Amino acid sequence: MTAAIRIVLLAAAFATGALAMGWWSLPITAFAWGIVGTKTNRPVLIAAVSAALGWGALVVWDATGASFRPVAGGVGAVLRINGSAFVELALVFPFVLAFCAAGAGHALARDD
Amino acid sequence: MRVSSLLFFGVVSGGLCWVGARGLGPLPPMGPLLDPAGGALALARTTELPRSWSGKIPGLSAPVTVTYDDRAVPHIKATTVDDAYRALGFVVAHDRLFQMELQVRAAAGTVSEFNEKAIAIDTVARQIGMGWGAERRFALLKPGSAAMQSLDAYASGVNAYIDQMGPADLPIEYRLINKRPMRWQAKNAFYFLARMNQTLSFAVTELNVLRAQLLVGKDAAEALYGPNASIQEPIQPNGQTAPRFDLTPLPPPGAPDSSALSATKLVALATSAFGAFAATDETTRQASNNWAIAPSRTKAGYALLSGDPHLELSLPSIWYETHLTVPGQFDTYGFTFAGTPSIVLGLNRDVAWSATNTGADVVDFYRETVDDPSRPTKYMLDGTWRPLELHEEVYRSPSGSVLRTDTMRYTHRGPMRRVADTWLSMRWTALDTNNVEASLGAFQAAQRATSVSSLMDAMAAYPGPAQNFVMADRGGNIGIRSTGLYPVRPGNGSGLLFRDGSVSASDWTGYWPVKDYPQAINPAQGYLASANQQPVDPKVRPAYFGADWPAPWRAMRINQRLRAEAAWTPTTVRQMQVDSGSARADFYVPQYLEAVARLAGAGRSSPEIARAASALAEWTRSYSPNDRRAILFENAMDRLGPMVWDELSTSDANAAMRPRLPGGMALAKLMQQPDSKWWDDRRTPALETRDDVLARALTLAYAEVSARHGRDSSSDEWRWGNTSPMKIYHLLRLEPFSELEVETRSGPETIAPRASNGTHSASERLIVELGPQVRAWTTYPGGQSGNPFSRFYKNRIPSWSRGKLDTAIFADVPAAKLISTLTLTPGDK
Repeated sequence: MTAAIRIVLLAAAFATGALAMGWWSLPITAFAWGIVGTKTNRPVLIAAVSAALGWGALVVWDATGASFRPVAGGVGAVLRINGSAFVELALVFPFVLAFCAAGAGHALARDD
Repeated sequence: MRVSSLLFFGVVSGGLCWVGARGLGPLPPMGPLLDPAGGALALARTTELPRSWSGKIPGLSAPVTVTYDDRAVPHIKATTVDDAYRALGFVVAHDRLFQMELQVRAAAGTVSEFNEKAIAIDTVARQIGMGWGAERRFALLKPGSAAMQSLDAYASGVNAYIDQMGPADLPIEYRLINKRPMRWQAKNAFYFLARMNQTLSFAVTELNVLRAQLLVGKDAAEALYGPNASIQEPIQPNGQTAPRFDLTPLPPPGAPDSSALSATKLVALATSAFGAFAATDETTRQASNNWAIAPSRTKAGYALLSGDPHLELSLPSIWYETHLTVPGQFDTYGFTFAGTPSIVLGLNRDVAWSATNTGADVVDFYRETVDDPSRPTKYMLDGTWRPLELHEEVYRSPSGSVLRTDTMRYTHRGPMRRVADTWLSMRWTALDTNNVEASLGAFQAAQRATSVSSLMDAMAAYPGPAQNFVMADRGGNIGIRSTGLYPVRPGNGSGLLFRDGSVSASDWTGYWPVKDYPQAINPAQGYLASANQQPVDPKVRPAYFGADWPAPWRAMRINQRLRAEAAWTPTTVRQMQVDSGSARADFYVPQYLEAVARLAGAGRSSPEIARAASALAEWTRSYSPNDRRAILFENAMDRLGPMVWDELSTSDANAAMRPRLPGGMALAKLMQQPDSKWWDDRRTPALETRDDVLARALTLAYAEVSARHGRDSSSDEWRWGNTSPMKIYHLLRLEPFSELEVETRSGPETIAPRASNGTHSASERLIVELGPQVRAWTTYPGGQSGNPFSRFYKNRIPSWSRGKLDTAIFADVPAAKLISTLTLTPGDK
């Protein structure tokens, strides 16, 4: 399986997990991938990219809503950041969290 | 395995999970907020009402159709009354779920479970017994009674909505505080009503008289804050065609009355113990107007009704507009509170009604004798020890940990608190158990009324908070009644005393009979109006009803206009609702100008005084947004009070010992006494007169306004709209979800008032024409949705601020106005 296919499948897993279980599915999925994907090339980076892509796809879905800009802007304002920064945060957060959780799983599973 | 890698990644991901789950510092939990499937951004997909949607409600006897018009007002058509309330619960929960819960928590004293900083607010709620009162009142509802059935039905509708909510439907506020909605209980409506009672009727009138007595003696104190207003423009017509001014001179400030010290200290401490200090101030900020015009004074020959309750403005608004139809039962339209199964103010096919706050004195304190002053378990009544009811109050944090515990004690009168070395109990009509069924039942019965007479019957048992209900019907009748429970007190009937709690002879002996309530039907004058003024002229009925009444400036303006016009239309009524004129300004501006002229005549003027007076003389006495002189007048008025009433200032560090400055009526009275000692400023060696003080207040005001807004008094910096906007805060005071720069035609004491620095004003406006086809117009400063991102969150603020009303669709929603249809069907229990 190529890295691209892995990324797509894993991104789908992250998106499905978010829909089914909420945000906690992200570190769990990434950690699990870190363990089972330990033999693959760059599993930690793949997890991070996939998580950002999976959540990104959902963000795109959200963006089809009529009030996406007001929502991003409003919530961002409550957090004292602008709307686009809030959207970026919704991509950076899964990237970093998946990177670290997959890294932990990977470190646990490595036998060297 | 690399331990260092594991440690590093483990710690960092653990930290991120912590921030995701619990937040960090001011940051809310980021995980549920950022989650695009069900987090904040997902709200973008659920903000707008779907064209067609459905829901299930357990217990529904038949399908209910809800059509939303183009203002997102739901029109509910049900086959049974209970089904209508089930549907109402469902749709209100859809739009206002967080607001519903917050209001109940505010009464229950559990807001600290959302934010532990709210523990002070919670403490007040519990110390005045709101939850205790709500529980005992709810417990008296008969199972199977109409009131209980409606509450159960409403609760099942709310909970059905909660159960069917998707992750993306969770209101943003819950996401920010990381909470889930609580299950709705039938009793919650009683908590909400307790909260409304606190807002509208928890005033400790004993307070200012005693505080002032300590500083300026009994005679002066009673004259300043006494039980009768010095300008009489009562709600119940007294046969006069103009306000009656009581020109009895104000007694000069007397010697401090040290005999009042113990009582004053007791009051001060009691206000701390019962949290009454803030509540008293809050109550004085509430206001409202309503009036009804008989067919003889309308152009079309139909009765007209107008109402605009003034409350603290909020987003979402306290009101929710709706139309409830149950064929054969009622067809009613108007405003409900989020959490209340009924239209509260509105109309049906025959009658319309609105309300203003009465402000009667319904709170008293008693000195109790207890068995053990440190930890009492019994109190003395007529020589017998009676057990106290004890409640352990537990305050919890958002995480559920215990923040504090407190033992609350209750006598048969109500909550009892230790105040210095005295135990004081409190009685408040809101905690009493009379007329419980009518708390909501009166409103529900009003929905079925067919005439003013039957509406009065329906509302007769309404217990409170006492309201001046104005009403009109299609038969051309108009009526008004100040309705609520008013205590009958022993002795002289005064509510300005602390009574001996050890004898039952101190207790209230009952409540006023309804026939004695202030009221009128079809008066010869052809109209009826109320604006929170003293309801009955004491010359007509001298019985004690309350004290420290607000100045009737709005009532004077309303009555002045109603007297002057004899061909009213809905349009002219609408214009009057936002009349920017002011009886207060009409009274005081000439006083300032004449004072300056007299000083000039005596050679005691100055260029500064002349310049300030010249600017004020240009004022049209209008509070329109473009006006550039109202700011000067208001600044002068703000200064005048402290300058005149300097005798009432005290260096006492305890805020509860400081009297609130007397209201506008005492000042108006003092204007007739140019050389009264009150005018002298004790802080200066000179002996000031009225004219000196007025001129100084005006001159200082001009200097300050110039310094703050520029010397060019024609510039936009002086615009009333710029300097004094209305501020409509989100419930959690989140500024991005608030509207803080709203220009209106409102000023202090104008018909549409601007009070409390712009946070209080007309919370809704209603006009009804009672013709063959009843027509209604409505607005309020907000929108139907509680979702800050919805186009219906604050869509009505622009028209509200301009004084425009929308035509209510009191019929089937026409296709062109239909935006959404909700079909509710029976669901599994």
